[in-house]
Amino acid sequence: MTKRRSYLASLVVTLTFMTVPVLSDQNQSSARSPSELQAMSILKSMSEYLAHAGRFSVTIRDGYDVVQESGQKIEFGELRLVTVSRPDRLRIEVKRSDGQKGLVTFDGKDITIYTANDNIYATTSRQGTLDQAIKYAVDDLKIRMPLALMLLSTLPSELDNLGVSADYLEKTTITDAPCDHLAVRTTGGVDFQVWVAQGDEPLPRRIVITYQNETGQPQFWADLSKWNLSPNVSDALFAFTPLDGAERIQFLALAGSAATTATLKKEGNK
Amino acid sequence: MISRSLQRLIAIPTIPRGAVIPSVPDSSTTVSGSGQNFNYCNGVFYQPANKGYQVVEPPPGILITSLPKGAVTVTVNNVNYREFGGVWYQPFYCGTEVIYQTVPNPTG
Repeated sequence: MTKRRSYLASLVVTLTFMTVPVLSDQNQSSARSPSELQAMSILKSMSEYLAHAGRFSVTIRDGYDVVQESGQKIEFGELRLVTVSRPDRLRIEVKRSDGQKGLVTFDGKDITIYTANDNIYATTSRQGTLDQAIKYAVDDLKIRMPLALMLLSTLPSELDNLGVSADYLEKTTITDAPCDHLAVRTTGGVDFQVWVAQGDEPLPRRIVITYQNETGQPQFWADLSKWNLSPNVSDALFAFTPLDGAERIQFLALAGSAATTATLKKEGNK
Repeated sequence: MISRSLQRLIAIPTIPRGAVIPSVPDSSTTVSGSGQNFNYCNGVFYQPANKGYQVVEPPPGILITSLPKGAVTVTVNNVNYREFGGVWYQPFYCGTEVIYQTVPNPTG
């Protein structure tokens, strides 16, 4: 049987709120090469541009390696339509490569996850900002949200916390917009490359993440397209209304103690 | 998911509790709960026994990622459970996935 999900947990953790020692600017600035200074400047522009956007929508086509016990890498993928409206709205439509369709919404009051194929959903109350909701969804509810970091208004400081160092590689025009290609390392064993659009809208157009410390060094990649910094948003877009016959269930993380004592070993051997 | 009545009609076979088989199916997985490990395959839970593996009743709290074919939905006190072979499950969202946890028979 082919494993699909065992890698996902690490993907979520490392992409979101990994805590590593912070390298101070003062210590780094003297040793930085022109290439690194240029790369860090572009990275900063990108992160601040995203962090200050009041709302945006983007289409993400991504893929991720799942390293099998045999060592073989299998790639699965998904299509995500993400709409953010700060300070407290989020909608992510997901279509997985196996055909499963899902939805994650936050309307300032409730976080909801929905699986269309089974017409099943879970909702929990969570008032607060979008940043707080995303951290709660990922850290506590364990909802998989690739590139969640990118959705936070604190993105610049989150990147600082990752202890990033970067190099400028090239300008490329084979992307849908001319991009600066950066190679970034973190102090936590996660490398990433990002292609940032040149010009007035320094938005990421492609991201490739490599997990150096994971067996087989799996990668995650994402192409980001159809950026819209002024999408039409209405409250209805972010509110979840269950379809007829939809089954509501609980989040395991919020269930009783019996649930938390059990462990789940996927794909274990006999 | 088929209905309970349909399950009766097509008489999906299950291995009776207490039965001992020489080996577990190749596609079995290891699951755990209440401090015990089990081999699990298609709705049947096994533990090592003399001369093989014995079919056992799982304790509450074991999580599986997909239901066995033939599991039926039964609503008890406004909660939807799944039942197969005398084992009852409650669905939960574990992150982005729906998983199923063994629970005591809610019909009591």
